[in-house]
Amino acid sequence: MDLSLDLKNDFLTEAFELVDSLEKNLLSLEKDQTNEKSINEIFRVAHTIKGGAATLGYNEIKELTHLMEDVLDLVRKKKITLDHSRTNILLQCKDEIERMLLEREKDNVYISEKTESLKKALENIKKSAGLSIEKKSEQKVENVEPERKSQELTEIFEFIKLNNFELSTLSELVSKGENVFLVFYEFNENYEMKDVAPFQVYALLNDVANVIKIVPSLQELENIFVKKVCFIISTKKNKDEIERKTYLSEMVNKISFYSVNLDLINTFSSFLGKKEQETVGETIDKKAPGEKKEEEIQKRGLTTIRIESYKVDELLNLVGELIIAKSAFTELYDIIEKVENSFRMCLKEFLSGVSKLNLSRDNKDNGEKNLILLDSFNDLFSLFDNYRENIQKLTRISSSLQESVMSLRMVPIQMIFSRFPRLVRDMAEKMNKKVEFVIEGVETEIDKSIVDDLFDPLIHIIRNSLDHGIESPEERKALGKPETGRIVLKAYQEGDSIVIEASDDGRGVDIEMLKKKALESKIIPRELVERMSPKELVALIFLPGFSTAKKVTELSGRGVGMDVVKKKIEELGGRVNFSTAKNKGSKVTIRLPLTLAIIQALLVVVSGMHFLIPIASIQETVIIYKDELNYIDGKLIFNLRDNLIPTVSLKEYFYGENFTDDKNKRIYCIISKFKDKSYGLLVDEVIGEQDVVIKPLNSKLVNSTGISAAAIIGNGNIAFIVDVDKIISSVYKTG
Amino acid sequence: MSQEILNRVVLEEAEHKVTYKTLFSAIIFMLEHSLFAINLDYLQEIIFLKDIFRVPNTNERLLGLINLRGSIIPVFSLKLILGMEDHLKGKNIIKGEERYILIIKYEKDLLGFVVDSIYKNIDVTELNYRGNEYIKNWSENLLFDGIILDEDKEIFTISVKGLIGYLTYIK
Repeated sequence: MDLSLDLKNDFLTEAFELVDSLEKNLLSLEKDQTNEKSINEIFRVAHTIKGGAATLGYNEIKELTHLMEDVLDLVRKKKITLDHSRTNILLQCKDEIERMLLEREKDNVYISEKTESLKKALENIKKSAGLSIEKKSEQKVENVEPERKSQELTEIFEFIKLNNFELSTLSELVSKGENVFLVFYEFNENYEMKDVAPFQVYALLNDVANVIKIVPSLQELENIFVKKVCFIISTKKNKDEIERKTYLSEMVNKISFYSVNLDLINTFSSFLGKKEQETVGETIDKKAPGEKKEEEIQKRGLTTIRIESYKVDELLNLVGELIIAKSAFTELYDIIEKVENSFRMCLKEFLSGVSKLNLSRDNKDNGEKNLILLDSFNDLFSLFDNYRENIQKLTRISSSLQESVMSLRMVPIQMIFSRFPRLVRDMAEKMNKKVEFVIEGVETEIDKSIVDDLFDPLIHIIRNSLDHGIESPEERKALGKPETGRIVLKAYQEGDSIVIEASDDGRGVDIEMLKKKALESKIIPRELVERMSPKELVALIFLPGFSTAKKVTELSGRGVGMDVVKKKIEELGGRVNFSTAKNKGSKVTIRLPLTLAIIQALLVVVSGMHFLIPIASIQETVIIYKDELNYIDGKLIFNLRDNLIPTVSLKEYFYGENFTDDKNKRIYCIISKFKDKSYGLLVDEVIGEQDVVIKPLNSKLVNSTGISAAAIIGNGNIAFIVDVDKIISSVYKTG
Repeated sequence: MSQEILNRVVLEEAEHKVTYKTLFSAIIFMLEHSLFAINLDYLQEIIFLKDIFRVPNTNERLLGLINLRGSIIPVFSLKLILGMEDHLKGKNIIKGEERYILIIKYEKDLLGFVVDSIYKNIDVTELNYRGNEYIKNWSENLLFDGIILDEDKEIFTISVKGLIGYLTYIK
């Protein structure tokens, strides 16, 4: 049988998810020993993993989870409590299982001394409870030899559908003295891995019996879950042994045995003969196989499907191409519309001119020709109208498609947030600190491509909070604070951005100490440090090699910190902000774009080249006279509704050309907001809004200040995406 | 020459051929009047020069970006890298030039190099190749892997690894 790759992959995928929930529930159980929901969930998880591992012959996982299950059973039965050290052991077991699964994924077997010591620790817990674990086989199994009423036998026969050949095989085996059984397993529909349950039973049965037939077949079982499955077996063992070996309490609700003897075979033979006679002219309400399968799937209530992420990426690439093609059509339409308008004007003038001048001697003839000409053009114009409608339809459809595909890329931030409680717990323990870790907004969705890269910066921030922010319980007490510190990790969506906040109620950053460190480090000239505002001093923590930690610890304080966080977040197209108040705490705010794949941008021209300015960073576009612009202290500035707007000429910034060089008296100015202040960007021409697929540049080979990425526009040309924040901060040194 | 001697010569020649196995295949191209080669293993494709869009504020050796079937690829001037003059330098949009772009793939990097013309393919054997050690004797230049001896010509083989290292450095 091909238990194969599919089964292995299914098991591993489910098992990884289950292991995650194991950690979550262990932590919540540690906080609240009475939480029955958690203990049941942990028990169920351990049991499910054990079952799956046993089927696939992953003994190292099976053995460890088996022992965990024993211990958890004691907790469930309130014979032991789950104190801190026991939770630690179970959490370490979870880590070991995770490692074992990772190795199994690579077709390796994980063997370690730690596993053995953990097993011993689990055994010790069992011993300390002074109780022996009840054996599973002692659990009550409904095992009734049912009365073989004729009706019941007919139903059984209808179910197992034996043919003459199979009946004669059974008869032969019975004659040889083999024990032949029809074993009916009723599987638990609510069991997490119910799909693999029949395969697990099959694997166990194979050890003790010869499986002759399975109804439904294994192929069918691979596709759909069936509650009742019959295994026809021949064996030397008795039914109690078979039952003991194959009764998997969580996944099997009931096992029924039917002993097959020659009498039963004869009865089945007579049913077969009767059935063959009835076949002629019989009308049976049968559904087409496909229809049946569909019904089954509906019954199972499948609402989600698993899909490899590269397929979603491929789909997104295609949508990207579609959007480029759509933009090309829209651009073409704009041209057509202009041509159409001027054409209509010309035609109108031409026709009225012809009728006025009466140039031809045969006016009637010419009039007819003109009418034909007008009709032809009217046909052409209606074609244009048609084209416009279709373009609008295409725009609507592609926008919906884009939204739908983008939503496929979005995953809840829970994916990374869920990894933190355990880390915080372990780190706090190492540092002898008491911390309450609160997570909010786990349902906030974020682009999948960002998720993985976000973990490292976040762990860095949280580690800093724990190490430098949160004080020791004694220190907190002395400051009149609760002994337990609080770290809050929060996510929410705000407009086109995802905001992640990590805050603590610790000691905050001491501005005076920052100043002292800045002077000591000599990274910045003394005069500059002296002139710095508190806000500017706080921003120093983002400087490379600048650490405020009094001592270097195992966890942080080596000066490789917030600058790396800032760099990483900026690589993801985001921004980091840090605020702090002495003895009140600190807050790091990360602002990330909702998606990294497609943006809406304003297409502009600078020195004959196309540039894209993200719409999200634009406030408004104005046309100004060049003489309204003035240089103050070497910087361009102009007055917009009584507000002085610092301005950057992109022509000058990118090409070193003076914006006054060309003859136009007026110039376009894109007003953008940066750090709550308005700035202007001068461009030569504004073409219009476009949806573009961002094509990241190979940062190893291409590095241009002020350009964040590129995109292909409608005509196939390349346009550069302007990094507005970087340009403004580099020109106006806003940091 | 007796039959015996002739047989020995033929045998020796056959043995000789077996000894000089192919090390790699290379493509030879022209820059101005000089020939250079590049290992075919790294060559993804050769295309006619298409529109190159210069990226502002970048090193002049980077001529710009091209749109290769929806992918954006950086294109460099091999002439400028090797210290020759290239009239394509500094142009905002390069188009309508009768030149070629070699598309190179090295590990995860995909990039293009503009060359004047393609000369021919060649199998490089131990016989017609002098590796890096030979070059090191008289040059520290890491941009070359070795020299191919073809007829009466000595052709420098471009080191793709060295080239990418150099481009990363000057970026």
